[in-house]
Amino acid sequence: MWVGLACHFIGFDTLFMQSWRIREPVMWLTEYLTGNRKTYGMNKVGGVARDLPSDYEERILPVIGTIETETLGVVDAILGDSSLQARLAGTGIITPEDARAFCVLGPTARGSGVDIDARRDHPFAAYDEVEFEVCVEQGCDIWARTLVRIRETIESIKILRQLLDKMPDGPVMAEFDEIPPYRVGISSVEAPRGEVHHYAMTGPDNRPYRWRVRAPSYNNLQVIPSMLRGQRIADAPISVGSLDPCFSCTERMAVIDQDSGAVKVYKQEELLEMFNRDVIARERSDRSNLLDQGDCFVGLRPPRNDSRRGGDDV
Amino acid sequence: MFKHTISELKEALVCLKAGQVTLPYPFEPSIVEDTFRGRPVLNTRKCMCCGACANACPARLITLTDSDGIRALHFELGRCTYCGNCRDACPQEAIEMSTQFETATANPDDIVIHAEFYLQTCRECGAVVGTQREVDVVREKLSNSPVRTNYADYFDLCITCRRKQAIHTPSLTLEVVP
Repeated sequence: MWVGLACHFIGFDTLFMQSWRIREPVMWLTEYLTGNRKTYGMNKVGGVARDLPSDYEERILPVIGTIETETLGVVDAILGDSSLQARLAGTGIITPEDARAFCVLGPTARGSGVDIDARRDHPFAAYDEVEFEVCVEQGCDIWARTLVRIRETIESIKILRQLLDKMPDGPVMAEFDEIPPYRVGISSVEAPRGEVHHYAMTGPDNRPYRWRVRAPSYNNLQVIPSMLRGQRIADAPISVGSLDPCFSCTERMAVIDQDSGAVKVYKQEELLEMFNRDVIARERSDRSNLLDQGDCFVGLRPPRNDSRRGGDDV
Repeated sequence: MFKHTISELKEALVCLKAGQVTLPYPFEPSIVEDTFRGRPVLNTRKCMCCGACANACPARLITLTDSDGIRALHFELGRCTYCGNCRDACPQEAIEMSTQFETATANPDDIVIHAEFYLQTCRECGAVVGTQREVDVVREKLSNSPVRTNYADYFDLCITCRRKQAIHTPSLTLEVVP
């Protein structure tokens, strides 16, 4: 999907159409296997909601076979495309130092030579039972990220073949009764864009009490200013697009009043106003502190002991 | 330059091999798979308003509200992901996942299911026993069962008054706090 979108951003709509055409049978397959194209409704606490249809293997194997040959065909075509390379190589540079400093994740990090993958580093589900290669490229530019994503598509098909071979029989849900309330669980899962973290606190009546998810786009978006510095404006769309940002995954804050249960979502103007008010108030208090101490170096601020910042520094 | 031309020819070949793939979708209906889950549909003749679906809905879009002797079952489908948990939970098999997926609308009331059921109140104290449909379902199930008892008197009694009638030792007649 990303290869298509990236090509769309740079005006190469032929490849955009072709990669989405290759993707479409996957959508039909997931519709058959899970009941929906995107919102599968499969994962539940303790297992999955329903078993696969009995003929799943006959349906999956031809589809992944076609994707593999067609993807290889497209890759073979674009690897020699010098105009595409000229556009993507050398743009949107994220140095390995920046990648580490901004904690970017997934293909964005692996394109800058940072060798991280939650599937290998913190194995979950059945990833410790399959063999796969973590695709790392040293290019640090958009071309490197493209190569990482293309290689990962091929790796994913290999993983799928192994999983189909090794799929055990058995119940789709684990047996459990009372879950102790107010216990915390954290998991990290490697999604196509990077590590997704889920935090869950159990509550009474076997229901979750608190749940918070941090999508990788949140980390990846932070690197944009340093990535765009010194670039041409024309390169901005593809540079931002090369992170494969999902803004809807990242914007997920609502303020809930504990007493009334009322939900409030802040609008852009309100957030800006709050931010400005906060910053201006802090600047003022800093200045008055300086004056009180009789310090004439206005440019130097005393170290702030602000507890709100404590948790966010990584 | 030569390499570039080869690559462009390959790209053209990819396109030519694919041919025309666009479906005539809006002009012809798109056929979905048999396993497809679309918008849930409520069969109000089967539903007894027990609230199992409201308990199963992960997004809490199904609500039950009592007022003036009526219990209203309300599905707010605007945020529904068609996961099918309500269908799996329904003891009456009253919820069906249809094949409808074209649910875009300018009027939010179009994607709402609203059903109202008469409430059965206790003949002694007036507390709510359940919906009349629920009581009917229990009565029908018991009449079909081989066990013959004198349950018939208890159908319009709440759980506290039922205990008062069944247990004749005063110290055992505990108040049930709902």
